[in-house]
Amino acid sequence: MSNMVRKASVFEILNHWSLAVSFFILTVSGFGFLYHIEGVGSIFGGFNQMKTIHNWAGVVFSVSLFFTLFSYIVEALSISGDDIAWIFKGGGYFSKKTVVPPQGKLNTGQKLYYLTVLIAGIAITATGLVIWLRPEMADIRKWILLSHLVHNISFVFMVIAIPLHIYLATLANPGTVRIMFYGTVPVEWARKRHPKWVQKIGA
Amino acid sequence: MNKKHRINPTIKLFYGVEGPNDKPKKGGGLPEDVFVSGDAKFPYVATTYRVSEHWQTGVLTRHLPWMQELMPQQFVEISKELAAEKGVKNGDKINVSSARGKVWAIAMVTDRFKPFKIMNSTVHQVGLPWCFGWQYPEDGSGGDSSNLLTPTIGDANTMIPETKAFMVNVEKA
Amino acid sequence: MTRKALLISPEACIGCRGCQIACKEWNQLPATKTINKGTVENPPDLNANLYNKIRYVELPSEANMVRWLFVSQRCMHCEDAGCMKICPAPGALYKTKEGAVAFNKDKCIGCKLCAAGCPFNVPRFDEKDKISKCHLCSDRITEGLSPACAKTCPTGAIQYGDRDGIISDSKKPGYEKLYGQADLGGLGVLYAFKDAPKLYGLDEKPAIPESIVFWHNVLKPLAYIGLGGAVAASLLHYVAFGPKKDEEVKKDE
Ligand code: SF4
Ligand code: SF4
Ligand code: SF4
Repeated sequence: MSNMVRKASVFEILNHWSLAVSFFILTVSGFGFLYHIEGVGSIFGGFNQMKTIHNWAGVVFSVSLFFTLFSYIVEALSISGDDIAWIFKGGGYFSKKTVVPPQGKLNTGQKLYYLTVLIAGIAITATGLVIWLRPEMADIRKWILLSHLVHNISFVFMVIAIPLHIYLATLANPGTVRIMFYGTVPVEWARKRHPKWVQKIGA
Repeated sequence: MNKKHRINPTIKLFYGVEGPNDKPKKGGGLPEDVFVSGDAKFPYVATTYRVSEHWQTGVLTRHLPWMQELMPQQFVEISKELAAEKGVKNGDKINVSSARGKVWAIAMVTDRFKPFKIMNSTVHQVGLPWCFGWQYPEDGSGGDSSNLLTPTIGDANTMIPETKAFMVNVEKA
Repeated sequence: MTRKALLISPEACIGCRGCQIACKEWNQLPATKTINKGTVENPPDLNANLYNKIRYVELPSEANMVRWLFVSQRCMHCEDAGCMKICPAPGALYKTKEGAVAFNKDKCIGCKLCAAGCPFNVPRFDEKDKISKCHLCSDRITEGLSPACAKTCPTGAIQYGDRDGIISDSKKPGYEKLYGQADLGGLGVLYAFKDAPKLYGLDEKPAIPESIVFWHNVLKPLAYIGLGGAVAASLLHYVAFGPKKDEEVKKDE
């Protein structure tokens, strides 16, 4: 395995799974609530239980989201000219001939995706907590309405961003999904897709 | 009116008098009803009434939680003018006292009571119900009956105990 | 089934609050411990055990006249009900065939969103956080009885009947405004007012909060379209451009 490099630590792998599973539960139950889908309710053992599960899955999601800060936030915020160029080239996804500028540990798309999920995740967590815990405040009705709105707007962002993320990490970029299981990638693969990172770690 | 009369001479006094100066008879009633009626210590006219939530003294209805919920405590209705004079706010606990006794009541400051103009002076009136007191509610949160304030006299025409007009003082508790 | 409704005439109400107690009796709701707060009005607000309440409105006196209005407050049984719109639990709130907005505590999940959705601030919650409110005596009216509060009212200040009939009945001289005829698709509780609704403590133009309307009309479909669109776009991309195979990735040299 000498030609492998580690891209994700064991903790990062587990944390990502916790995010993925909690997100899945949250989305399915969320759609159940949104559209009164009785079938979804019964999967969770009724709407009452679904509410409890939704709330606690939200806690798991937000804690995992918090831990991702240590892994990605510095990288996601280091934006350079290469990132701008990457965007103009559509990440190389719309033509086989395009040569994209060299990328670090996260490519521009991954950075943007991370920031989207982070912001939407914080918003959806904070507003979810307001709706759940309903703090004693004078204007609580206004806060609930605002939270309900923001919770749903964030949800829309999430349900668009995450399927794309799944597609890009599986079908669109073969060889990527193994990071979710092993955390390692072949050096050759990394050199092609994340040359700046490979250079940095000197592999 | 004859200056000698401190009170309505035609009312029925439920006590005896004796001697040349109408001194109250020993054990024969309440001298307060005669001798303190015009006292400046009790400058306000008071009246009593029932509420629809309690029957008579409330001795039956105060045991019904639904009725207690609607009408839980002794109150006194006073005009905005008198409240301003006394520095009383709506909902304050105030003391209503007469020569005969004292009860606390929650002030209801309202336009439903208005000061009278009588012979160029302003006369205030207050009103309170008499459906509270005695043993229930046991924690005493209901307050006492306004019957503790009323005189022991009979109405001039009917001899019915006159509990509808008497003199009191009100002050913040 | 024709839609049923209540007609409330505050000027005919004598403030006896028989309706408050009749409701408690029919619905077997316990009393709460109250105190006098300087008003006859009690309890101070609707609660899980108080589905209707007389509000006492004392208007400033003019020329020594006191105007004391007794306004019944309860669920309005809106045609377009904000509580039902926002409620995430199917069956927790439902319309009866008479047009009453009734509830089922077993289905309610206790999220309390309906309280934010109601333009009249009606829903209250019991100790298990389940919705509690006037249900227009849905159990009585299906049997052809009138609601307990209307039945007990000694002056006819609360009247029950076919909504259309009530609307034509209410057109009496002196009653300027029929409240709730068209608002929110038509309320199931109508008020015969002699003055502006504001005087009686009601909104001139009650409406479901805009954010809920926006959420219902735009965000809800967008969640479906967004998810479907993202999946469809991914598949489309796969078909049109195919994956970025390792051997095809070009290095910038
Ligand atoms: S008044 Fe409020 S609780 Fe009643 S039906 Fe209308 S929105 Fe729902
Ligand atoms: S508290 Fe109950 S009735 Fe109200 S919105 Fe939530 S589930 Fe629906
Ligand atoms: S209609 Fe029935 S539930 Fe509603 S307030 Fe009247 S008595 Fe209570």
